[in-house]
Amino acid sequence: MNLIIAGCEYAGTTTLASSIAGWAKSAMGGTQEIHDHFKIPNIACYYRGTPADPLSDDELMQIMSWSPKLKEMVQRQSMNYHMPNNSDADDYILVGFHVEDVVYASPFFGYGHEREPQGGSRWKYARHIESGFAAQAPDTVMVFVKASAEVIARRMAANPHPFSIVKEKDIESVLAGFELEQERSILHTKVVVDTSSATVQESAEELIANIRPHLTIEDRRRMVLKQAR
Amino acid sequence: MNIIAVGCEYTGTTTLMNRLQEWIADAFGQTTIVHDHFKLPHVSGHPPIDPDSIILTDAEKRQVLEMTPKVKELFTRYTLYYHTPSHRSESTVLGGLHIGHHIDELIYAPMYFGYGGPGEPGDRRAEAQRVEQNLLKYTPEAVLVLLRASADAVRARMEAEPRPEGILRPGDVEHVLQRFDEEFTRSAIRNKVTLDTTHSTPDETFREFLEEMEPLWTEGDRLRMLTRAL
Repeated sequence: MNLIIAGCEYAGTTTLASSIAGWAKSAMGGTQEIHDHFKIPNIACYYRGTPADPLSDDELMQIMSWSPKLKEMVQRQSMNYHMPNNSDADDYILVGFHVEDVVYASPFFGYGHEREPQGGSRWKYARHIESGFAAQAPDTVMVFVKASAEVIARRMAANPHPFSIVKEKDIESVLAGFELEQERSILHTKVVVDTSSATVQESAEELIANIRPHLTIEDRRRMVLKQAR
Repeated sequence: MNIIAVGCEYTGTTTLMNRLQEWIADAFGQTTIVHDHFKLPHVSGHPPIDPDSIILTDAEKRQVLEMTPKVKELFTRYTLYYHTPSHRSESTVLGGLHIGHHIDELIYAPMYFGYGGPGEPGDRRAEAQRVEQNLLKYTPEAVLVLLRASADAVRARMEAEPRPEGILRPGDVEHVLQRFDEEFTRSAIRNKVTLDTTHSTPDETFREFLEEMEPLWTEGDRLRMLTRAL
């Protein structure tokens, strides 16, 4: 199973990624990988070998101070590093990934605008990434997680994330950015989950129900084998 | 075509690849890029093709050098895999020229930048093996070129033309030369060429390189040369 789960901060992408990975483990067994490190300054990934300690606040501050050119480079190369061909996991779950990059790059990090030397507007690079997914993992399901602006603002106030990108004043424009990317995405299978008025469990169940029809033959084979044990 | 030139600084890797780039423009009628950005702080840009806006400024180079080893390791690992094939390309794709690549990382990262040592996060021995697995899987025609020079020749060149952002320290020359020899021998890449630049001019080295490459050009490369000659 290949999933890309995208949505505004506080919409619930991280929570749902964790839920769906847990479900996949129990329903199908095998190995699950969640990569949820595409929001600058959280760029660290160690999915092979010895992991390093988490980036310190000083290191995170240092990354925030990088020029737009360096930020663009690390994000572009990090996305390339996380293309599905590079993973051996049975279930490969990316959070945010290229969609976040489009929505956040220009307004918050100063790269990916129309005159960006590296390929122009970031949505063009996003389509390039999606072409790669279509070739390497055509079964990929693009999940858009939504919540109303009021709910996002409430969650933000209740549980602010360290190094949060989105501020209250940005919520409407960021939500509009994700809507636009949902329309632009060329991935064949798209699923939408609105978490505004649902509990975590209800949203997870909705997501699983929406994904079920798109499980691959291999996923179904794993499921049968798991049930048979 | 995928050519990776490696060797201690001042052995002539950049000179050789720049000449090859010019030769390819003439022989193939196509422009290719030299990826010579695997030695910190040079992590971006392909002069003379890229505009200045892509080359790092002095302030950006400082930002790179000021990264902690942990962040340098992440940054360079992403760069390394960005320049490693992860799928098979059509034979019509020209490919690229790389300098240093995973072998530079394997040698210089633990020596000078404090990351990638044995058992550490991003262990460059393990990463180099993965990189070579991808190279062999997706571009088995890749050629690894080792440039050698005597330690005295390297030191003389260092003195004659010091590089403000050079990595190599004079006291390390023998060791680094030896390490490149070791890693070249250990490399799983099948197609290998060695060139000794101690006593030869850049022109002589380039002619020797072309002779060594004769059996190694891919079918696509030969078609390019033939169609260019029409």
